[in-house]
Amino acid sequence: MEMVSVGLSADDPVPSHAPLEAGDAELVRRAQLGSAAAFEELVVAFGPRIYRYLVLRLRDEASALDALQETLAAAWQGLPSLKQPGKFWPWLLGIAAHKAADSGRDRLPTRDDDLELPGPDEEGVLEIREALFALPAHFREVLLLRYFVRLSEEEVAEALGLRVGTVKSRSARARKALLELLG
Amino acid sequence: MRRGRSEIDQRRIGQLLARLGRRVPTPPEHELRALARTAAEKERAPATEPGRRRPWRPLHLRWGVAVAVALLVGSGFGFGVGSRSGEDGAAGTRVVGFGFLPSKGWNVVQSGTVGATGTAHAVAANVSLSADDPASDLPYETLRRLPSNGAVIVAELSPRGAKGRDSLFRPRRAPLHLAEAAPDRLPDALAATNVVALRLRSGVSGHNVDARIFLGAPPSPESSASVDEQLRRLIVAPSAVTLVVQPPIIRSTSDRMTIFGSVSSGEAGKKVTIQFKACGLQPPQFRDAFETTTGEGGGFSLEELRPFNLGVSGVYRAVSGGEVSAEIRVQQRVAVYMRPLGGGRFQVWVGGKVSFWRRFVLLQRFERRRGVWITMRRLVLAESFAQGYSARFRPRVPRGTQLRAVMPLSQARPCYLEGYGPIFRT
Repeated sequence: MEMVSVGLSADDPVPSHAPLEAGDAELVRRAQLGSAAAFEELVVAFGPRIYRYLVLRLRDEASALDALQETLAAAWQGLPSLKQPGKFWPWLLGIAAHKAADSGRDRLPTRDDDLELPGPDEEGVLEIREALFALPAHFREVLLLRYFVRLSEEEVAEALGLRVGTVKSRSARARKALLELLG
Repeated sequence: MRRGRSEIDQRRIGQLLARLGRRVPTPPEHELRALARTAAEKERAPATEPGRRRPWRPLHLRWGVAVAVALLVGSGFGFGVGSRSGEDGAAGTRVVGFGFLPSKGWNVVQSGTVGATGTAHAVAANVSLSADDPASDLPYETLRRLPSNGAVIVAELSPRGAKGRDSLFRPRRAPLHLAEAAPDRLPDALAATNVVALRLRSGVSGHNVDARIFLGAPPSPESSASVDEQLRRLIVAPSAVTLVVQPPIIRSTSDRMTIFGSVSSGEAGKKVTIQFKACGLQPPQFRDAFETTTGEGGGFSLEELRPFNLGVSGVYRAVSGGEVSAEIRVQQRVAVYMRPLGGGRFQVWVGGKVSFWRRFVLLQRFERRRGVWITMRRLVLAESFAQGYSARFRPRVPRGTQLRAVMPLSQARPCYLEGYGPIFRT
């Protein structure tokens, strides 16, 4: 199996994937037992990362906010059935991925009103945005989970309901397609 | 060389996406909190019967309401426990319940059994409980303001038999004593307080009792005596036989089932028979399905069972020494299969322990643009095939279309839940 660290800079908004910290695990456990306060803290901790993922996946902030709301509602309902609190993060992303797919927006052709990014075009960010949004939805989906959110191949497979081999081949083809678009 | 190139590509893509992600604005914290509160407002569906609303909300009761309920329940409970034995010591009507009876100067709150695991929560405190504390969690608000003479006991009671967990709970005889408790790590939320945390895990009457004891100051003879008095009033009065079956819905042939539970006598080596009453079986009656014996503390468990061998929804119960547990319902999804026959034709069939003759499945195609499944037609199961009934069809769809067959609940009931077949690409 090919395991690669994708080493990002220290100010990366998505910290490298790691097991939940002890405090987070306790929050998950309390939320499973019905603590709305603990669930709120989890949302504050993990919500921004999920939201960024959804924005890039759906190319639209309003759709991402809707999908985030649906994700949180489903997560609250499903938390008691989460057998391993340590897998809360990939589990939550799996829900978000399915809610994004349910919205169907990521499968629409690119539109003029797709995500606008504030600020000047530093370091070719707009070019990356256009290349990412031009990819087919299933390529974008796997790229974001694998390299933006940085789940392992096994976790991506579990989140999307695919086989690990499919994730590997799809992410390789998606990488190639993205780099070709970027020249 | 190729591998090195791949690593460079992956690192570059990670950096590009991170750069893009940094430019995406995120909702402010207050908006995230509002989203979380909205999500948590909706009552959780009970795990045992998804789709049906729970008639009351024990997990969300606030203390103010809960205390009032507890007084009512507690008084009834007190009469019940009192009626358990007469002057001659003979047992009366058996009382079943878990929780604290209040000691003098103490308040108690208890949930009763909750969820598919039969877990019960009970809290006792010699201070007023805060109205901001949720009933099913540690009472953090109360603990943050705990005075030096304050004491709070939070107990969680669950049936023995869950492997790997029972070993943490040493069998003991009631009443429990503070002296047997071990120091415990203080939750992070209480790190800034002087609260002292102790934990007492015990196997009592076939149940695991996890008592977390919080004191406002290190234990003194007075506080120990007060806590012991309240622990003496911890009631663990389960049914003679407790049974838990998980999961409550069997989804596929790969699902495995766990059955566990306990006998209230706490005896080891007692024979326990698990019986199953299958839906559709005539005459409807329980038949022996599994047999096991209890371990230390009265727990028993059967793991990695293949529920599909029994093949149909039904009801489980456990029998031991003439005592019978409550009945536990387990539902099963119907098995739907599909295979290509060649020449653009497919066969769909449905298997089960009951007849599906002349019932129908829905043939659906995936609409990629909208991301939804569209029903194309009904396929009536008229051919006998393997252990079920089948239908053949030739889909008129563009090449590459994803297809699946679904048996809706209206056709699968009463002995099955709806079932979904595998997805095929034409």
